[in-house]
Amino acid sequence: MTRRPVVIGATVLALAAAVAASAAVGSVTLPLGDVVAAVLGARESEAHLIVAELRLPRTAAGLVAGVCLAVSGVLLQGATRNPLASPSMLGISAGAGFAVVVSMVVLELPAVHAVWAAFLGGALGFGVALLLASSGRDGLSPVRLALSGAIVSTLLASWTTAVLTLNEFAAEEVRNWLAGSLAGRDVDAMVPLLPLVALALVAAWALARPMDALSLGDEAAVGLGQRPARVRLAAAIAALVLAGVAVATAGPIAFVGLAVPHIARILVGGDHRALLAASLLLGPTVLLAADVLGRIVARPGEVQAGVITALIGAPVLVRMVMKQRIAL
Amino acid sequence: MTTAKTAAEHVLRQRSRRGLAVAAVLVALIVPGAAWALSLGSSDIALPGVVTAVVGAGDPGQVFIVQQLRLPRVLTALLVGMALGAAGTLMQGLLRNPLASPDVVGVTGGASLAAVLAIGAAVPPLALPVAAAAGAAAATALLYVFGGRSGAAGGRLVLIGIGVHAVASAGVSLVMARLPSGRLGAAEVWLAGSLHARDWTHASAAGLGLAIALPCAYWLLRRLAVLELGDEIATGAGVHVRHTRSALLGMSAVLTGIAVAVAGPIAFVALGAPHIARRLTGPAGALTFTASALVGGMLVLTADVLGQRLFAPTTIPAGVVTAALGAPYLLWLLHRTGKR
Repeated sequence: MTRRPVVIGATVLALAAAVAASAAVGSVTLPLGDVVAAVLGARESEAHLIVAELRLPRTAAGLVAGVCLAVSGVLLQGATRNPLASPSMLGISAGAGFAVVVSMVVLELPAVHAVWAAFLGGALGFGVALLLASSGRDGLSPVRLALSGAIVSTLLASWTTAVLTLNEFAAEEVRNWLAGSLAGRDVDAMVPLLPLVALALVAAWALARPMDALSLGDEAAVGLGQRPARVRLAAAIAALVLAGVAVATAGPIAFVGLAVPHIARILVGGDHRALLAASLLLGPTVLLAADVLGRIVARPGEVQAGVITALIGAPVLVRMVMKQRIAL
Repeated sequence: MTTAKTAAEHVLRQRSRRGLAVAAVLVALIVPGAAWALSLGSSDIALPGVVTAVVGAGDPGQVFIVQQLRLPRVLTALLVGMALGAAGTLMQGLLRNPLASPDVVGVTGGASLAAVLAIGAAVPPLALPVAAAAGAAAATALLYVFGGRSGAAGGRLVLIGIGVHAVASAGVSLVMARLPSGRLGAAEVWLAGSLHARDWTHASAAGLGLAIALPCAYWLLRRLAVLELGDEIATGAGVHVRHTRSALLGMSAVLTGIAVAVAGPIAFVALGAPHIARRLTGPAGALTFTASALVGGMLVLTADVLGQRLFAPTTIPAGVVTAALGAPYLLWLLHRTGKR
């Protein structure tokens, strides 16, 4: 594992590149010098307006949501020992998305409360998916868990469609958010959530060693002095908090939580601390890259980041299945 | 040995007797149910009036309402539901997984994507069903190319289907975000799964489709039963496993395509109807299949009537009603399987 510092260094560089691209690229083409000047504080230029008011908040949203999704994926995969576990595969994202739509469109609550709705809805979706998956004879097999998550997600997505159909004039903002967009995010609304994210990240770090033990099997974990049920519960709660923040920030974005831990595992191996560190860096890199790509491919319009991650992530899932990385 | 065989035959005979009884009861329920649905609407018509109007006698206004407006809608609802129930049974048998359905493995998603694209391109209304059916076929082709050919059992196909579904629904939100607001409403209503304003074109298209597809499905059912014993036994019995699987997958897609083309993606019927049918008949091949189709028809008809009546004068698409009812059913299913 001597290459680990190299990998982490490369990942940091990739993240920096993604952040820079997110500030520099957009539907309005700005000279790079103007962008740099705008970031450094040259006020009252058009470039400053675009970069500071639009692109930097968007980049911040991508950083927060990317970190949250990736770490949530590591926690869920570690806790369930299931390579398909992730917020979007387990009904968490769909549940959170549905709850946010209800709170915004039906109850007309201010956007500040969206995050609480997201926690509640995410927990509900996760709970039902888990129950459905564990009701079978062969227990929580990857396929069964994925299917249960897909059923719950399909159901919640059709409920979301129903809510939108019945409220025909629901803001375009809501649709945009549902497709997983980083555009137009309110940074001020995100700030109060940061302590929560920090808390969940600390919890994730503390859970790394116990999850290493879990990956040896429950009996071995007990032998090493762990209590598997407690570790799982703690990991699930931290994962829910992170996924809830991600959905409240950027909408139900698919596959980042699934794919990033797998990429990280290929790069740094299965040790959970290394996995967490690498995913923490890779998550926002992937999400910001998807967002930048979405701004480029459809100029002068743009494609939401969530659509790009689904279009790229789903083939990755299919490839994982075909290469039999997932034991069926 | 012989006693075991006779015992098995006895059980099977009892089961098929029960299945026949269930199918008969379902048919007996559908006829008055449909008549009731025909009597309901913006102006209610008494049942005797419905009967005379169906045969063309009586008040000309009522004849028009019943024959031209309500009868095609009711028939379309029944046919769509039957197609979904049948498609779900084939899919669950093929993937050997009671949780599988065309909704979750992307067939419905492919149809939705194609239909939304067609709405965006402002195709004439009659081309919309064609587009939806083509989308279902394309999604199934992807499923087959990536998962079906390998011949591995259900798990792989399920996961690949979930991937196909993800791509399709990303595509739908991509298209939806770019639709002009005038067409957005049309797309949203279609995506919710509605029987609103279905006329004889829809009813006869669905009827014709089912008249061709259902006999083929029955013919495939015997092979499915052999397939369910395991690949090796099936091969030993002279069934070509790979071809049979592709045929079943294709047939399930055709049935889904018929339903989605006519009424949009109506959620949970394909998943739920086979469960309800199995609970009624027990796992008994062709009869469960029949019961599942009939249950599907009843579900969609009921959902459509409920959608029209519950919050009248606001009508709710049938797909919204089935989705809303899907969750309680799912929970009940959990409760039941948990007890075993």
